[in-house]
Amino acid sequence: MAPLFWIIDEEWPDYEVETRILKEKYPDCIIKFSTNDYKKDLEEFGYMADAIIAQVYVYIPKETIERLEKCKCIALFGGGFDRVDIEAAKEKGIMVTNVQGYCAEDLADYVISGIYYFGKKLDFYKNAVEKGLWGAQSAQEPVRRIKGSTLLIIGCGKIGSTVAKRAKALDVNIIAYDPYVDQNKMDEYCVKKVELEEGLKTADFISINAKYYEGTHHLLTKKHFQLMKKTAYLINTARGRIINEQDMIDAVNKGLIAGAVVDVISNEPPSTDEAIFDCEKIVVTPHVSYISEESYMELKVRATNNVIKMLNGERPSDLVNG
Amino acid sequence: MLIWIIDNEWPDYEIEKKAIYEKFPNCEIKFSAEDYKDDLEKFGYNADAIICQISVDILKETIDKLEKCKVISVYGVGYDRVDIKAAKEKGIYVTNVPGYCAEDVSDYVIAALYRHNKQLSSYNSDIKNGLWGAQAVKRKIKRLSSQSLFIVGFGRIGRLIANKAVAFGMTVMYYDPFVSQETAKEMGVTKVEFEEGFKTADYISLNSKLDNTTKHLISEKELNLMKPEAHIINASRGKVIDEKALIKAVESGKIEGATLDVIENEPPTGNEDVFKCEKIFVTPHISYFSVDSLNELQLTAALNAINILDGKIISEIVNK
Repeated sequence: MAPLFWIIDEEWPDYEVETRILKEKYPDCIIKFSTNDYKKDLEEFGYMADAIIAQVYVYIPKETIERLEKCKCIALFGGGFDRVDIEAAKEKGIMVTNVQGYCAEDLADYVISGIYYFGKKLDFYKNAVEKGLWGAQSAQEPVRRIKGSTLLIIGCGKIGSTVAKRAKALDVNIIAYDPYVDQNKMDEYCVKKVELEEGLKTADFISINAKYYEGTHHLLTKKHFQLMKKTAYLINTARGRIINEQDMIDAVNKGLIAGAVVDVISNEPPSTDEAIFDCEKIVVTPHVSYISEESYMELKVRATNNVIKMLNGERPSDLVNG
Repeated sequence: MLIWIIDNEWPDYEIEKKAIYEKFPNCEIKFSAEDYKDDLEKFGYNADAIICQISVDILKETIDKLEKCKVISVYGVGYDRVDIKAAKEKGIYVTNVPGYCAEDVSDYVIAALYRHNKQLSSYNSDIKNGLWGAQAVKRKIKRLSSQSLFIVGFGRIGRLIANKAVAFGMTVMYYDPFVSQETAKEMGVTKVEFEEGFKTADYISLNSKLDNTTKHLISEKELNLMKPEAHIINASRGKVIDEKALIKAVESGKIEGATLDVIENEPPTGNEDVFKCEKIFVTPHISYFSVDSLNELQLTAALNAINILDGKIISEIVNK
């Protein structure tokens, strides 16, 4: 019988890539779509799905999994799988895959972009001409050359090391804090391993590229901001809750650090009246650092191929509950 | 020994003083503003070395009066206000400081490229309107490593830009009649014909000198060759682009836009058309500027004077 694929998502404008790949393999397959609030659809047709492809934001708890009658696999559009009960899935023989590392370059570009945002301050000159200023006198604050400054990377895995590769070309000193990566490995990226406190004290730019779990919840709090240079800038593309957000806002407002660029915040999606949006020296982007046509393509292709492999009984390398 | 500093720009001269006294502890240092005529009569004629801002005129009349001077060290790259021939005839070396801000200008170009590609500061109102995640993105974002950069003028600055862009995974091309293909190979970049570069590039960075051959180097013809999504970055000199043609090309959608640190009329009145074009982002000629570049400029200018007083022949001499 032709398989039923159930795609649960609110992010993508279209599913042409997924449809093309699925139809190529299963010309007669049926593809159905639901939004993140899929309860009704679960009762109507979802329980009969052979495979699910879902966005990382979608909750798939035990109650959902128990209702699935034929499902063999759940392929996620992204790295995080904390909203899927992978143990319950395993017990029912349902394989779950994620897609990691597809956006390492995009995130690294975002981090370097953040360094340049504060390092060269182009946006700070927007109104200079209106004010009649031209030339070096229009510089509001001292501009330091990026070359020779120090970048601390917190979490030196695939993304952190991709940041390091780019930063090396800027001639900056690169140091990293990561208890799980040794100096030998860091040597490959020309990175010096440091303790967190030592790194925070010496860095001009700090990039967070760590995984979020209990161990990194509020990794940076008030006492850490007190260690940082007053001229330091923080860039967070990992997860909002790795930082105590209120402590960061206080640190910026009090001048303990010079500013921050964050693509992730504590409460996502925000209600928009969060205090972080009122802090002039914190630039917030709406969790878009991973986005490019190329990253989307890789994400969609890999997630869809994962689902096909699992339906064929293969164990993809992206399996998270094997 | 007397060193005479003529300048209106710097807030202090601690860097120069430190370097000079280290070599010549008993040296006297005197200062004048750019209108130095009186001081020339009073003490300047007696100077062993002059260090001066690029905007200061040092004409033959001045040079004729210098009795002991061995070097005129200019704070900057340009030395068109110094009569270097008259200086040479009197045995006075003139020095400049090339490349002190090459790193800073190259950073400006990369910053402009990232600003255009990532648009970090553009999301405020979307977030306030309740958009979060992929829905907040209303344009096609291309990964930088899938993009190409065409550098026009492959000197010191152009090469620094190339090094960075190559590390980001970009495809880098350059046009420079004076730089060989060999240079390109070593760096992982490609030398291309002028027109080809304009036709294929996503980003175009102008890094040539301004002279008779490069005035309006980029005119309507070149703009017409460019891709509609192409973005031009100019941190060289404003007159390298025909500004009117650029504005027309951007407004008619022939190219996507531009980031300019230099414009045709500097300092501007503020009413120039280039400021009215939404897709052209203008900064007030600050690409060279950093605390470090100014420190380097002041130190190198001082060292140039010191080295020549010390009898050395240095590469910064422009009238050998």
